[in-house]
Amino acid sequence: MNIRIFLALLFISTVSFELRAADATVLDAIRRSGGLVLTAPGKSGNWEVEFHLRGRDLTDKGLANVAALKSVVVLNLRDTQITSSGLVHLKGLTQLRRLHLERTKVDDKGIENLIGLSKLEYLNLYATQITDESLDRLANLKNLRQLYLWQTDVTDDGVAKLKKALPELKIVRGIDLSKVVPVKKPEPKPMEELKWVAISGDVKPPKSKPGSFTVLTFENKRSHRIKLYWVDYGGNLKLYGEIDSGGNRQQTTYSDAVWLVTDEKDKTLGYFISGQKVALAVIPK
Amino acid sequence: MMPNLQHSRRDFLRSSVGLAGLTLPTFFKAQALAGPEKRKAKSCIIIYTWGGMSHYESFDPKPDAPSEIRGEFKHIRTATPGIHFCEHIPLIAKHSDKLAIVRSVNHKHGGHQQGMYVNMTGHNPVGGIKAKSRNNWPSLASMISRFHNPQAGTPGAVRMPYSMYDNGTQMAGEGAGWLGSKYDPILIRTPAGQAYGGVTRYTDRELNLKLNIEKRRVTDRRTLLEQLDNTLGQTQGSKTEYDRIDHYRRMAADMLLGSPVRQAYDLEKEDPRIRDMYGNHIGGQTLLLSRRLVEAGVPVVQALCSAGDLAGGGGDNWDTHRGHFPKMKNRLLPVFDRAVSALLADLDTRGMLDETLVVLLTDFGRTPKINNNGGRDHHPGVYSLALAGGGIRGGQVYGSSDRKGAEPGSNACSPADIHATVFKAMGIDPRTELTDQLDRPFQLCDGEPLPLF
Repeated sequence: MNIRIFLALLFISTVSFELRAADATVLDAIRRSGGLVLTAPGKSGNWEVEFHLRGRDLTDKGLANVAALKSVVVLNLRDTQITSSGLVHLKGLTQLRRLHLERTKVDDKGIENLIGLSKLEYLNLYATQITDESLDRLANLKNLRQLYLWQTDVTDDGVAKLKKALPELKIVRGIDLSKVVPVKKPEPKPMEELKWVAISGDVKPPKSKPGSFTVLTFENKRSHRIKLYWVDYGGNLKLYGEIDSGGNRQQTTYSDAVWLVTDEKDKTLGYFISGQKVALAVIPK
Repeated sequence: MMPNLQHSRRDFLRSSVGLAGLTLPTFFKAQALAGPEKRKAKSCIIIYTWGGMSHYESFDPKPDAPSEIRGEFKHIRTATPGIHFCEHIPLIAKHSDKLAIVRSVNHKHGGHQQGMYVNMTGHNPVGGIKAKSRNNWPSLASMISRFHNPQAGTPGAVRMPYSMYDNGTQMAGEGAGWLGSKYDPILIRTPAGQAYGGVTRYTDRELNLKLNIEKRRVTDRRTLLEQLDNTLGQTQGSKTEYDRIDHYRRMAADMLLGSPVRQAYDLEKEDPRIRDMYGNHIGGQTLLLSRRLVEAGVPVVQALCSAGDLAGGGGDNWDTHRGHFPKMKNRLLPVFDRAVSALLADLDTRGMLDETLVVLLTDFGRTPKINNNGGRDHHPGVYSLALAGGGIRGGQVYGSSDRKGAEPGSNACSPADIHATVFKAMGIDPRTELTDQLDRPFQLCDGEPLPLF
């Protein structure tokens, strides 16, 4: 075996032994509180710690376990119960490159704990209570490249000032919800009107024929109540209902159906034949 | 969670380290595999436009071509100098700084099934492929999920809002194929939004199952599984069929028993203004749900943006053989434009875009010549796809089509190359060898990653 490989192996085994001993308890505690711990790509012994999925009950106290882990490069605290007071535990996490604090109760008071995190590249503070005061402090983070500030109390001036201090920083203020225009609902199509066929009492209306499903809306414009009959396939009348003067009635039916209209004393007035489309059937004055 | 030996070495590493500390061999592999690489995307949203989206009327307008090729629409400037899109995707044009457009994709398959299959799986279809066959290549979503190990109760892959159909036949290419039922993406219905063209197809068995169990109030997993057993019957169908349903059954049970995924599924919990931004159509609400699922830890989501049954009628789709221009302008592009632009804006706003890869796929492009019915026909000769987020450098165009938009002009590439690019962004080696259920080896992807990073 090549001596260099041997030395490497020796070194690695020592490292892994230490890892086992020192971190096992802490890892276990983090996992018990719903945190997910992954090895970060790249250098060994670097951790990615995430609480945003199953660890949302995490409080300030629980953060102490993360602090004990030391070389944490990614920490996701989105949607957890932590506050500004808890951020004191992050002070020692100087390897942090990516920090998610969005949707927590963090405010300006907590941000001073972050100014020593000189490797920080990504900081997400959307939906927190921070103001321009925090932005002033963040100007110290020279490696910061991405900053998310949607739904915070920062101002245009504050952002412009930070942008000047850190020209390479991408600052995302996010969507302006006041400018969202809903999709226009399509105008309801003017309904087709069925032809009214006026007939007198001695004329027989045609029989209905089988067709496809549709809907009719009857509108009674007469000054009196009317009765509505369906003429069945054999030519027999079947009463479906009555419509008051000025009233209307929605009726499911089939195409090629004949609907006969009479007055209250069953005197024939006229009829409609339904088509395939949803339509309006206006009973005239 | 115990480390799963069937998973890739990379996964094995990540989980085993978390469990009991590093062992020597795995540590060595960690060094070899990981290296000082850039950060990888954590999740992927695949947006599919079923039927074949015209490259002319989207990402590759040809303003200088003769009118019978150019078509009725104009081109517009985007947020990136020198890049032009079709005038009917103005909202997406504002996000060109996030998009890498690939204008030189091509393949040889002129049928929907074959075109979809090669785009979905990255491999050429053999004759007589059938949906749900375990001989099929796995879909992109299935393959990605194979390398991710989400937390318990979180599906590895989700697809929405229903399966792709042509003339009543379900298409092959959306399942896990030979990877096995465990990796079949879970089909989920989008709970809100106006249906495509007023018609929606919700006939899939899994969906019906999902709808049935949603009505029940169940509090523990065992009771729920028993109820699902009763619903399904123990001996229904073949063994494979049962396994498939069983996988779904377990996942459905986990999801229904309170997890971030369940909360994500409830669109009523979303800010109504955000819902408006995506649009009150299934296309928009599906992409909104995609973001919510990714946020809840789902590694890969496949979303259809407008997809009716092609020849079977019913619902909007991108197969515009007739009345291409009015259909694109009035029905397809407005939904696509609003939904996709909203997704990009939303992911960026929340600081999720750099870890979420968005990829747009379709069957093929449309013919240069407009036919006698005012339509464009199938054209696999060249077409455009797009990627965003997940480490992809935005504001760029890769490759080109020729002056007519008929063939690749420069940097011709294949669906397999797009897949290789996706795998690279997701931190997966495209040359990884996987085995099917009979332990036969297959190489994940034959393509080469495009230089889009």
